[in-house]
Amino acid sequence: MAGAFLLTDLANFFDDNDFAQIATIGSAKVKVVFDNAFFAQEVGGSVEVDEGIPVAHAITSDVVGVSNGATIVINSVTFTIVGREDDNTGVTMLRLRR
Amino acid sequence: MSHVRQQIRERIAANVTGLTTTGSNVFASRVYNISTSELPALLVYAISESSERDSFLSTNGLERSVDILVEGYATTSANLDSVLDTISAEVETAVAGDPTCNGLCRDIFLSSTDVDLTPDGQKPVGSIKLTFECTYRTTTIAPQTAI
Repeated sequence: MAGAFLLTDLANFFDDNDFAQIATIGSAKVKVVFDNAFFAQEVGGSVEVDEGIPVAHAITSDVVGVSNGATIVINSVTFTIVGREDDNTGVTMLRLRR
Repeated sequence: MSHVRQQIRERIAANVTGLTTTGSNVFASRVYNISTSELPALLVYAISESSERDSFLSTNGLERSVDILVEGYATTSANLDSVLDTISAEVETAVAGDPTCNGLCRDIFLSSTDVDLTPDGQKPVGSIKLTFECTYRTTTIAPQTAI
């Protein structure tokens, strides 16, 4: 099965002693890899607004019941989940907003 | 002495400094990106100007109309449009409170308003663009002096 090899390595990718960290969604503890990449946002004005786009990558099976509007706490910062993208190889990217 | 257009731009930037929402986050003719930590903020520009002389071959009066753009930026989780409208009210009041820009111009009024809201990033970000049309006069040979 295409991509199946990835599933066997997910535990390594989401090792919270390495790249991942523990986040809280409701009462659940979920391992996520958090990213807040730089983004220059066009807002219709003369200059762009510099900020980050926060996303959290999680093991899909850990976030099956998580839907848009849920809150997630990462590093004591509370975000709202505004989108989820399952990559169909076992990983889901949660799009976040503060 | 600087061009009257510059004096007007600087006067308006000063008039909108210290407003309740945007405070001292006022930047004149900014060309670099702005960070969310600097918001809410105002950016002030002189974006275009048209002029008409009083008479043919005259070296005397020149009536000028310059568009001064005051851009408000804000980011907030909710009611972003209300924050931008508050910024608009504060700026309009401040500009109207000095209708001659300390004697530099004959008239100034708000000629257009544009609002943009975007959902990307950590929080929604928006801008409100207030264009003020400002009429002033100089001679053709002395653009540094308002008449």
